[in-house]
Amino acid sequence: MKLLKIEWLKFKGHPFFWIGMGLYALCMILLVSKAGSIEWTTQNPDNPEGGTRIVNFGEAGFYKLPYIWHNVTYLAGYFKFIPAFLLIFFVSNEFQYRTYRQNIIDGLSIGEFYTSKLWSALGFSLISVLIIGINTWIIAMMYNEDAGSADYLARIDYLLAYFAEVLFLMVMALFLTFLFKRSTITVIIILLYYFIVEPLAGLAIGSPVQDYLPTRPSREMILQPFTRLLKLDAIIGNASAEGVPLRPLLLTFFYTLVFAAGGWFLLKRRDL
Amino acid sequence: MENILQTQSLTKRYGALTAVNELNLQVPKGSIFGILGPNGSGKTTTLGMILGVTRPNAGSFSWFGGHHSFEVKQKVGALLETPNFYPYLSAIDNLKIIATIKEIEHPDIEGVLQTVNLAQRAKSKFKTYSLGMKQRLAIAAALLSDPEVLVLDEPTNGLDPQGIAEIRNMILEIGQRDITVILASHLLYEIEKVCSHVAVLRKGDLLFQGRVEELMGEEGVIEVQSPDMDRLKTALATIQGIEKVKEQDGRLILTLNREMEPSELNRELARQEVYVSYLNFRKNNLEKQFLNLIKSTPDHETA
Repeated sequence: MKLLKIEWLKFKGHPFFWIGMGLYALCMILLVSKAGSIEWTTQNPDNPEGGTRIVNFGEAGFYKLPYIWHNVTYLAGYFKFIPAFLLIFFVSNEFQYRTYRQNIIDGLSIGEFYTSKLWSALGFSLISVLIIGINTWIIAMMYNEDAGSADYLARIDYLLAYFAEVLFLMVMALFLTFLFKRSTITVIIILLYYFIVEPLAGLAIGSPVQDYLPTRPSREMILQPFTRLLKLDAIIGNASAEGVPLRPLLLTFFYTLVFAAGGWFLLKRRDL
Repeated sequence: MENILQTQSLTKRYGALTAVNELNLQVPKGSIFGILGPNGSGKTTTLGMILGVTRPNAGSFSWFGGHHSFEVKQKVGALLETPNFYPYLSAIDNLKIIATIKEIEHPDIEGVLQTVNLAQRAKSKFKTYSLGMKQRLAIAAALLSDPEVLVLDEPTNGLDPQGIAEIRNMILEIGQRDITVILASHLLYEIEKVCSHVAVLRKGDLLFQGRVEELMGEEGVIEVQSPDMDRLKTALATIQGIEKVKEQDGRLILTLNREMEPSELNRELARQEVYVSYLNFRKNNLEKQFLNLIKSTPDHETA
């Protein structure tokens, strides 16, 4: 509790925290409420030879239970970088302002400081799940009037996968911030690695090793839902996921632990 | 006298450079203890080690005779190098964080801010403060837990003369409160003004440790004690060659301005029928060259 309170005092006084979280919540609300009006030009599933047609996501069943959980958490995944950048900003500040060292002088142990940052990572992940969960639940009620509670819970494992995905990114961000101590370089490195270095390396290495690279499992938990939504699975011979696959989920938790241990190792062996 | 801090062969190396070399310090309770040395002599490294943020390569230290525990950190208020606060937070919010870290249940935030004359700006963000105000807030933060020891690292560095005077008076005032103060400075003048004890460092080596008077006396100092201290003082006032008399722990510390053998002093006192129960002479053994190096006048202080 003491550590959480310290983190809260550090966050709440900075406008970036409120702006960032406000933006994150706003993005999520807009995402969930507006995704239904996205229109997509695709092949006509009813007549594969008959050219294209325009599909409206809402009409195609974007909000239908239980698939809404899958659809929404997949899109939300792109916004997880907002809380990650906030965390990088606040933690790198501790090094820039030397408040990390002052915290230790004042009475925290290195372990307590580290734990307080893990709490923040966990806090951001829980807030993310709450925002997307409540949003989705509300909109699901509007579009699924005849659904029972079992329908709501049927694919709620996607919420757990989203939590794992965000927590993984948070802890990885924490590790990189401990490593580089500066927010700009950390943000650049994490984006480069996530979107360019690892995917390219994965292509170069190929299966099955690429499935075990650090960020890959976190993307494989929630696979794209569009081919099912747009009824293209049959045409392109794809099988859309029915629920979160277990292996990537476990691997994601594993890599979260690896980065957490790495962060601890970095803090522990360095002079302040 | 009881030591609140003791270091045993404390050593820190950075690669080939030995920043602090087998340092043995004893900081007596209730003293204002100066650590004096030019930049790069190992002052901050020493403070970093005793505050638990720099790992020693060898040696050890003990606070209040024990380990550097959370309880010790509660009793020690410290500032290392620069005042380190969250720039986007106000003085009050910064102090709240420190109070939470130190587990102070009812922190007297208003009180410490008044002590350092910052009550007017309590709600302003730290980044809007002048350097002098930042230093004062650091002292306020260090005082928050009602500490037994205050550790200050170059607290007047970069301040204007008025700021320097304010900080010095504050340190002297705090010293009156039964708080032990450990003060690092590169200014002999500053140490002389505020400290009772001093350790002199050069390139990580301890050159001298003792009372400030011993360091200051060009011709050395004599410590005397007599069953009748009042008569001793009266008699000393008549003797030529004594520049300064200071009372400490029941003894008088005499700073000499001419060469004087202890026997000469003893003879003179006996002639006036004052008999001493303790007489100790210490020759100043510091290299003059080094002293001149760190000696400075108030004009050079802001450098």
